[in-house]
Amino acid sequence: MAKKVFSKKVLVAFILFIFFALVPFLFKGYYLTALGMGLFYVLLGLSLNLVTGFAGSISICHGAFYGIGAYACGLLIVKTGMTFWPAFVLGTVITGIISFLVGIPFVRTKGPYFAIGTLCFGAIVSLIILNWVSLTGGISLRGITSPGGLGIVKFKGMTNYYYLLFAAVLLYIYINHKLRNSRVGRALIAIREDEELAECTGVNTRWYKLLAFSVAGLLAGLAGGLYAGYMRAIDPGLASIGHSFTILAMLIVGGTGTISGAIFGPLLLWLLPEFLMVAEDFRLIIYGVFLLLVILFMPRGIAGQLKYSLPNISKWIP
Amino acid sequence: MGIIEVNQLTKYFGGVAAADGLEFQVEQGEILGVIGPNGSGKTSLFNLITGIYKPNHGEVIFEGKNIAGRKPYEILKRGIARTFQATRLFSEIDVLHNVMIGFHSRTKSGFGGVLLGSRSARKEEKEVPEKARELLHFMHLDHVKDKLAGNITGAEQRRLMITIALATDPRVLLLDEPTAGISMEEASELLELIMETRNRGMTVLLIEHNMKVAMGISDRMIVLNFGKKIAEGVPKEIAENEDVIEAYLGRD
Repeated sequence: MAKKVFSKKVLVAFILFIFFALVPFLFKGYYLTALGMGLFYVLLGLSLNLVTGFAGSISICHGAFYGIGAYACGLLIVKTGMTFWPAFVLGTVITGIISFLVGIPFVRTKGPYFAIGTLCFGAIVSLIILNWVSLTGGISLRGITSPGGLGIVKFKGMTNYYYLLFAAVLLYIYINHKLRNSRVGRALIAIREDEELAECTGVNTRWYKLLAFSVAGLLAGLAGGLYAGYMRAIDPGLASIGHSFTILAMLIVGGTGTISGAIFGPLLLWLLPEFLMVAEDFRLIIYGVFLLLVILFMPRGIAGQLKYSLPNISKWIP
Repeated sequence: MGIIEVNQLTKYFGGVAAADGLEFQVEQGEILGVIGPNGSGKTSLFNLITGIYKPNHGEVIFEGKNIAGRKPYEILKRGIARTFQATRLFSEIDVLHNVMIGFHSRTKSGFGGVLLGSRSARKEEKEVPEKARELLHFMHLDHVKDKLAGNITGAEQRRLMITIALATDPRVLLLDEPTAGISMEEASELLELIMETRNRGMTVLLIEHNMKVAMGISDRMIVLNFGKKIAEGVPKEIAENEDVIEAYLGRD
């Protein structure tokens, strides 16, 4: 029985894997670019899932770490003349260190206090990026070089870049999956369910929250570095509070704490307005309506609610 | 020398004393009943011993070391586990995983080991569910192991709380009204399980509201009122103690 359940999920996951692996062959031009850009949000959803989904701490500065990663990578390239890959690695590490240090005071707080703390940090980051013009170039940073290649593989245009993003998505899924089914993941989920009880059951709650927060920050930074390499021009909007809220909304709509939700929530909220071809201004309205509907009727998010309310279907959800 | 020695333990909330110079010892392997009227400081005493409250003053010596003011997870790791008065579980996770969380402090694998799939992490992942199943069997909970903890009966939830505490492999178990809100029959089954864990060498502190039950199961008892210890002794002595009768029934 247990084995059968397992294999249904694996089957669905495998079909999805094949589909997403073939995307550059199935779609061209605009649609490919739109899907590829969506993968950046999948990366953000999967990384935010570690702290907000597993540990249950609502973080509203995920965009800030995305921005820090993008700017760290971009500035290292523009200001020091580094090539992309070393700048990318260093930028990711820098973001990880910043999220670790920033996390130290935040993990002492819970619930809304944690959310407000991270919100303020997010606001500070975006203001610094916008106003420290001599360093960041203000409203945009240009002249970032693209990855070029890694060995014989070239990353030019979305077709090839898509696979780079796809590989990163697989890595993030692996991290989510491994953690969820481990001692570390159980500790995080225990914190989400009841922080005091978790501590009375032997979990060093502050340490585990800090771990989740800083790894999530590091992974957001990594995604930011990839974004900088693809766009070659970045702006402070990446780190804005609005952007952080968008990422959070995507995860909540998909379903916090589920891997499939962290993937399809972002894809859905990214692609829907994109394919409906509505103006940028309507995007927020669509988010708002979606978020409202989900919170009212599916408080666990789409994937979470399906798993909870329809156990038969849940066998098919990876 | 007892396994736990409480010395001059004091905790104030504003002007109200939740614990006022408490002094007593818990002997290795005994069931010590903690009784007292509502608001007498029984749960506060447990919160002080397990690190949820930091005392204003005083010591809790556990196996020779003062643990007062330490963090709950540190105290748990040293070997004192507890349950709560109100049912408190990881209610949106299944029963088996609730117990697996209990094994946290007895296992080691960290972030790196988990991601890289180190040998010790893989070994733990095999062992922990097995041990959890064994423990669920001991506590007569096998039949609900795949249900969400929030969806099992009240009596099963009470047993599950104790199962999680036992999973941490404690030497001392603090039970805060374990039989609250369940039927007499279920309660007596639970008390038998408590007796059995004691017979396996566990030391138990038990808060119990029902005086008859407390008298029946405890080896010794302490009685609290307004944060002070007003009596200590074997159940028979407590039953005849004038101060205790007065605290419960009031003065004529």
